[in-house]
Amino acid sequence: MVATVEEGDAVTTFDALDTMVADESMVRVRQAVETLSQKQREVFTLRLEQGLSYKEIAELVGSTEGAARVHYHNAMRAVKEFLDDE
Amino acid sequence: MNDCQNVEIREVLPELVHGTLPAAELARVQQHLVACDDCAAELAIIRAVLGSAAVPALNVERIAAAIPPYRRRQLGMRRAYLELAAACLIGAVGISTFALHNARNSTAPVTAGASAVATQGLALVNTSDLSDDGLAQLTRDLDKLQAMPTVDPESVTPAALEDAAEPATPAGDSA
Repeated sequence: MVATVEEGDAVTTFDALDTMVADESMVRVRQAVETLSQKQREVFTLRLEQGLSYKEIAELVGSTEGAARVHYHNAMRAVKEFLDDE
Repeated sequence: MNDCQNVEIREVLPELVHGTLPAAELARVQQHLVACDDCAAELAIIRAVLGSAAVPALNVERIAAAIPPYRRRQLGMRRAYLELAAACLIGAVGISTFALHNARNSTAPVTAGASAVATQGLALVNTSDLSDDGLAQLTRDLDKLQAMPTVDPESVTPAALEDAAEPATPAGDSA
């Protein structure tokens, strides 16, 4: 059977994983974000919650596009490590 | 959880969640996600971060930047129209009030007469303040009054009342 990709599938395909992470607790994820440095948290939330590009984030936080990208990936790595350690 | 080596895919995962990914790229990312547990896990984290946001973050700077600069509105002709409309409104109210006042005076003569009598009646109450000339004038005014009762209450004697209350004599009694 060949699955067709339709608009909206992107946010529904991995519901199982979503549920798994959600069941681990949204509180833990929030705790993980709170462990980030101020700059990392700022870039991380702007990127994920606002959906801003690195260029837009760099303009908002007074940084460069490359620095914003590094902050984001460092933040993501830190969140993963926090969740793995739990 | 490990980081997928395909940075290009990881970079667009937030856009995937926000639904801003072009259709062609969406299909490519979807295809990758089916086979990559690391990216799938990262996508789940992104959704968890969004779901764990207690209060939606507001980008105040972006909102402020999107607001167009304030410009004073040009009120030249608009102000003239407003002043004209205000003048018309005031005129209409004045004319309506005048017409209503006239209509009341012309359609209620009895009321006007009663009002005059009432006014003169009130004058009778305050006779202590009147001078001799005032009293004389008041007397003349009272003489002019036509709205007097046709029957003077003092003329109604007890005998007249008894006559009025006495039942009519049956026709057979006189016979």
